[in-house]
Amino acid sequence: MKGRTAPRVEPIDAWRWRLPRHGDMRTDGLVFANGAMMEELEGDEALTQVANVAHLPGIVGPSIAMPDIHWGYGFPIGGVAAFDPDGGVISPGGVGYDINCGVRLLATPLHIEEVRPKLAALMDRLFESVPSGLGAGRPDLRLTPAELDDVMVRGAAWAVARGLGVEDDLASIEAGGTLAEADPAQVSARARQRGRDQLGTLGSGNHFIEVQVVAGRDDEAAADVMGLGPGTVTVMIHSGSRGLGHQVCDDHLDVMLAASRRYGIELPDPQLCCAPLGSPEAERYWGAMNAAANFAFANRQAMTHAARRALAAVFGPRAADGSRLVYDVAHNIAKRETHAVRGVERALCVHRKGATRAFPPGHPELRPRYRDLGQPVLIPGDMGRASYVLLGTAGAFAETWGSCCHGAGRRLSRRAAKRAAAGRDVAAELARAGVLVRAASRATVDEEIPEAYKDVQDVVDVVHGAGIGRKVAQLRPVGVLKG
Amino acid sequence: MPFDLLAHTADVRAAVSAPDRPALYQAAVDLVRTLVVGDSPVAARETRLVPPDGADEAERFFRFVRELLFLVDAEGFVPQAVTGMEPPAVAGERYDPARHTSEHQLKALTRHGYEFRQAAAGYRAEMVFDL
Repeated sequence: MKGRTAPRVEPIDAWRWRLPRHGDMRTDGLVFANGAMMEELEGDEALTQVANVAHLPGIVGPSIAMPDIHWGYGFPIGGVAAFDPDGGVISPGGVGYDINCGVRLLATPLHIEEVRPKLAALMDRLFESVPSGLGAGRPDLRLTPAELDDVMVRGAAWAVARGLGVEDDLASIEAGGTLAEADPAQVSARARQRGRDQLGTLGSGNHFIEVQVVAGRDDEAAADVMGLGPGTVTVMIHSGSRGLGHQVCDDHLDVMLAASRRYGIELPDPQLCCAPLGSPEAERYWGAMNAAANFAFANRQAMTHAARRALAAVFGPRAADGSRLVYDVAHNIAKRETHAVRGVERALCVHRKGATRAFPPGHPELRPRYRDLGQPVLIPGDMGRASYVLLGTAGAFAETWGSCCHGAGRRLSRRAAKRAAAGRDVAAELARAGVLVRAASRATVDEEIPEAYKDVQDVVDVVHGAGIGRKVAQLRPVGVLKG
Repeated sequence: MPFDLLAHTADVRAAVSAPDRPALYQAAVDLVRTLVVGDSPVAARETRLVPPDGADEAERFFRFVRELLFLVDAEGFVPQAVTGMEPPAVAGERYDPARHTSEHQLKALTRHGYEFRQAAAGYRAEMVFDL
């Protein structure tokens, strides 16, 4: 499983490590981590994957890894890389199978004191409303072929037009919840078959819906703008493009493998197969990827609607009507963006594989609500500890193509986590700690035990310390819905 | 078991080995079924043909396993047994939440770390699944 390069890193400062260019690497690697994290990473395949990404043609700047870095397939999870439209490439492996996997956060008008007595009822209602696990589907959202096309073109706007949300939601979604360059004609019949009945479903693995409480506020003014008062109850949703996106990736990986050979691109890992930006293969993937990304935006919007209905059923209409979307971010995506390279503005194709866009205050892509504040960055943690809300910074824009981490990052394999959970009742342990769990699969709960993840506090401390994100609020889970 | 689960931080890495091709394909079916529904009994009620696709044995096996994942996700078809090899045929049944546990949803079979070896003692393949 080794790439062609042996990873060796050297410290730059307390938060940054350089993986020096060697062999056929075209650039250095840059890893954000503290010393303890780097000790755990030593000898890990994830660093080899940082080096492997640096082999790709047309990479601009370093191959970057966030502090939640861990071993993925092709790119490391937590990887960021930008490519020049002239000579650079696009790689489905730099986006991942779950195209536009992402996170959204809803701030409710409820205080934890009024939610606690009815939390079990809320979790039951959410579990009924949002199907998860194998065979899950929403009978009310079975799509005709024409409707599926419309979803892939309009994304979250389709869902809002269908009554699954309010116009105001769209102003708090990355790209307004609609990526304009989607081309459903590039999405195969097999991908459509997989996605047709999966809109509004959660999936499994690390996907979740959490009911949380605002437990800490590092930036009170920013937290107030976001509606994150002390004790406020929030709902966080983590999911993506479901089977439709997975199949789009599979289909186009086959195309890209052939394209890599045709264009003479040498690959240290076949999962990094790619095509030159602007080539027919790249353009077809671009259209399909954006279509799948729009499906994901619509999927999270549909689940948001289900969450509002659950809130209304348990706490009355005020709970739903007063729930406002804080933000929705993609963390598996490639975007065409403009960035300064050695003082000159250039168009680049930025791949974020397990990394979050983190644009600074004043960026023209931010809607008025966040123009002066910066883009909210949502960092889910694990079932037992915390999640974070951060803001994008000028530092991120200057150093990481406006990118930040996307989660806590796994530290244990699923097999090791299951071993650690053997003989325990993880749901009961969490209940004793004040976290109610509802899950379609006990195996998933065991594999997602809190200790399977790095402490998200350490991860956000690194990005905050390095200046590529700014802490706003800490959210603690009180209810978890898993697939 | 004809398969082993190996260490991987985020996803599922597994190895299957068998003395011959039919047994190798059966091992893959056993692996996918176990990952999807654990030890739940699965009956051979329906059959799906998986026409061979790929330039060599390694690619054909890769695409066979990938097709199993497609059948699970698109049709809820849980594989139980390989019933033919020319072309490969798989018997199984539709997922039934009343009788089957839901263990994992497998997004994809990745090409990262895919290895396929044929030797005198038989076949061995290593695979990483995205979860």
